[in-house]
Amino acid sequence: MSEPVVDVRGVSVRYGAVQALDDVSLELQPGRIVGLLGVNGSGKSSLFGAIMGTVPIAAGRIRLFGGEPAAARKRALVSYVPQAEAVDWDFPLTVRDVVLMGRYGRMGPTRRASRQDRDATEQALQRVGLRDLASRQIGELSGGQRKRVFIARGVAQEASLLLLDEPFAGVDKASERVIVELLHGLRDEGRGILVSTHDLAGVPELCDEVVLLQRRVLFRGPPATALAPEALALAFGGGVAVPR
Amino acid sequence: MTPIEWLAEPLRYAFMSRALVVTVVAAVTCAILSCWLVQIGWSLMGDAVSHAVLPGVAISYILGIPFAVGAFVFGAGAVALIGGVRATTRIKADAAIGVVFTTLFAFGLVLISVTPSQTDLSHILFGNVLGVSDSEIAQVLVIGVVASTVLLLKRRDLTLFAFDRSHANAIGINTRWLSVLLLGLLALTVVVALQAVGIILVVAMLITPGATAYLLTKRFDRMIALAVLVTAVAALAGAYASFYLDVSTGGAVVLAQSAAFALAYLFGLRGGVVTARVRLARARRREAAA
Amino acid sequence: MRKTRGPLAAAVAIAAGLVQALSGCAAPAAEAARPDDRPLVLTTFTVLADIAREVGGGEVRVESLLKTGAEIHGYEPTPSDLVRASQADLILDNGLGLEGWFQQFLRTADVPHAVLSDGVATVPIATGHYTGEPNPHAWMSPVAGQAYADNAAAALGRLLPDRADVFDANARAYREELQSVADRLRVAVSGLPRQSRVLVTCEGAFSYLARDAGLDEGFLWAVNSDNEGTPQQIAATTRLVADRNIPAVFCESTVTDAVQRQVARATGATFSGPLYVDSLSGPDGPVPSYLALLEHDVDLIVRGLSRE
Repeated sequence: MSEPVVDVRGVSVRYGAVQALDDVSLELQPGRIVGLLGVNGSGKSSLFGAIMGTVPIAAGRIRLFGGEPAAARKRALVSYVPQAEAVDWDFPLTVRDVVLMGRYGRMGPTRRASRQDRDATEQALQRVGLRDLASRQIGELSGGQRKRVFIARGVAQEASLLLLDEPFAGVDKASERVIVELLHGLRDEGRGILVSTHDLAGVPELCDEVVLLQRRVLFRGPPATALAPEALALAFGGGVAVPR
Repeated sequence: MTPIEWLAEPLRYAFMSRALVVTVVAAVTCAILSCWLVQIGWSLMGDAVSHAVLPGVAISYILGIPFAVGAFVFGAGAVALIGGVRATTRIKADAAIGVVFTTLFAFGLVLISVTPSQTDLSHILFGNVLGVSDSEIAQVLVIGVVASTVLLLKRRDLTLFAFDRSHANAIGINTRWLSVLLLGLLALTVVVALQAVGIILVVAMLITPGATAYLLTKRFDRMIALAVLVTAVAALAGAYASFYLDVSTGGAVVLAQSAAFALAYLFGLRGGVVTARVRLARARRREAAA
Repeated sequence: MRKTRGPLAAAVAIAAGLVQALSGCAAPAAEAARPDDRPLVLTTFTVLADIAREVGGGEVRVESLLKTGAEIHGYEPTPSDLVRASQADLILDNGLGLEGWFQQFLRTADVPHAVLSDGVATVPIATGHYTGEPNPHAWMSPVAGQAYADNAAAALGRLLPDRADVFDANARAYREELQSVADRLRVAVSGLPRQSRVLVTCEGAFSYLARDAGLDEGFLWAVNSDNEGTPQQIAATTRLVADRNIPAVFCESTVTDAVQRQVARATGATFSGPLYVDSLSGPDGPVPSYLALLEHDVDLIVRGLSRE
């Protein structure tokens, strides 16, 4: 039996007087995609932050690959795919530059790229279908292409845990399908993928399991059950975007 | 005068060759740092640190210690104070920065008004590159080289930090330390540059080169190289202009950098206003012909 | 309404008390010692204060607005300066545009005032933005300094008419001392080799001294309120020193000497200084009096230029 990729037990997060997460427990097994569903302010970003080490935990504990999260991060096992809003698309970086950044965790202190690093980058670009656009500045890409850049970064990194923040925001239907296929492929290789979103679109196709979050875990189960209108109404009282 | 003579004439004077060395070293160090400052949005921070060092420089002169020591202490101190204010109040970043650095700057002015014979305010404010002492040149060279080297060695992590702090954390990079490093290098760079252009204009050297290079390329590595190249040329051009036109050296150098920015703004291949219009016109003509 | 008046009044009282205490602390200690009812003569800077003391003897209290070492051309008077000035019985200033920052006050204040450079044959400024205007540093000439002494005696005589003869006698004795300085200067300079008779300083403050002594004058900048140390100024001075093989260059105590030291480094001339112009030193320093200032400067200049 292999260790869960992510093991969250009784985690609470507080910002001053505000309780962002209250006794949250969940698990992500290797080869699974779990969707974290919740409105803005439900604690999804706090949970991601706790996993990435930017948000301190007030109670409970998190294990990544059976060990301390910091150790897993040091081994470059965790990759973060940011939401499109949070990225500075004007930053003077090419697609290839961003994907190569995934390898930094495995490079020396001056981050000089080895042959191996460059090969991993090219293979990742090939895999997500961005080889031809590799020299473009990231701002020149479409919404779907932009998302694939950061997935490629996780692939190049050889990360075993991918954290995706709002993966389908600003992505058209066709690209959405491509991305879902990509992620399924990565999942089938044994990686664990945690997706955080407030938008139901794409969730049923993508996720093996859905967790409804509103400071506490309200519900956990397969997408069909979790997204049934009754469950959603119980959980959110109408605060969630309904898929078309 | 032949072009060679024109280039060689200022170099006949020791004060000019010394001024050129200081100005170019300072400008290049600032240019490298400015690439990140401009991307992260720390331009105001650069302004703040450059003003905050005034009391440090005054105290250094009063105590007879190297100016770099006092300047660095107050530069780093300002950063710490700003961080402290932001962490413990609801005050927004720009206000916290504004309050701290103006306080320190005013403190410096008061200090100098009490000890007018030991400190020359106008030289600290506007630079004294034509009168740099051997000790000051040494400080500029050593610190400039050290700061530039560290920046270049750590450039990839700093770029990642500027671009995607979350991912940097996710792969185990200590972003707090990177932040401290960058701000510490900012303080050091300010110390170097204030010898060349004085406190008031340092912020120009920390912003304009990065902004100019940004208009010229879409790759960060090239941005650094372009910033350095453009700045070195501007520094030389400004120094020569100050010699032949008999104007303030610091002012001339900054104006030369601004001229470079104006050229990039108009004609830059990546984002130049004139270039874009020309391209658009050509595209329209092609469409009409097709 | 009633409730808030209490704390507010208390705050105002405390603030007033603080201000009073602080300004009390700032007042010079001498005033607290013994009531001194001699008239107060206020001069703008320390050189004039010394002249006024010599001429006034012990009949008047003399104070200088600027402290020793302060720069006189761009001085910013503080509120307490203006208070002191309005309480003085006589104000003596240099004139010739030296104290531009004081003119506004002098126009509006109700205090007797005399210009010590009245009647002096002025030397015009030769270069820079103030070309053509009279050079203000007339006191650097021991000959012109005698006119300062006379003007001081006249002004003090108007203030205390029954002591006027004392002042005149003091002024006469002082003039003799100044004249002997002038004579010694001429003799010393005539002993220098002809081509070394060039005085190169930071500010063009020595025109009057140079005229009296028979020296040529060179300087980086004409007046301290002008541009100081532009590339062409430095280049021109460097060329002058190199071409005429001048053995020494000088700088004054109230400006930074970094640029002049560059010139010295570049040409092999000796850097010598400081020369005192705009300020005396403290009582334990090298130039505690106007006479000492003139003698010190003359001595330094002659020694510097006698080198090879």
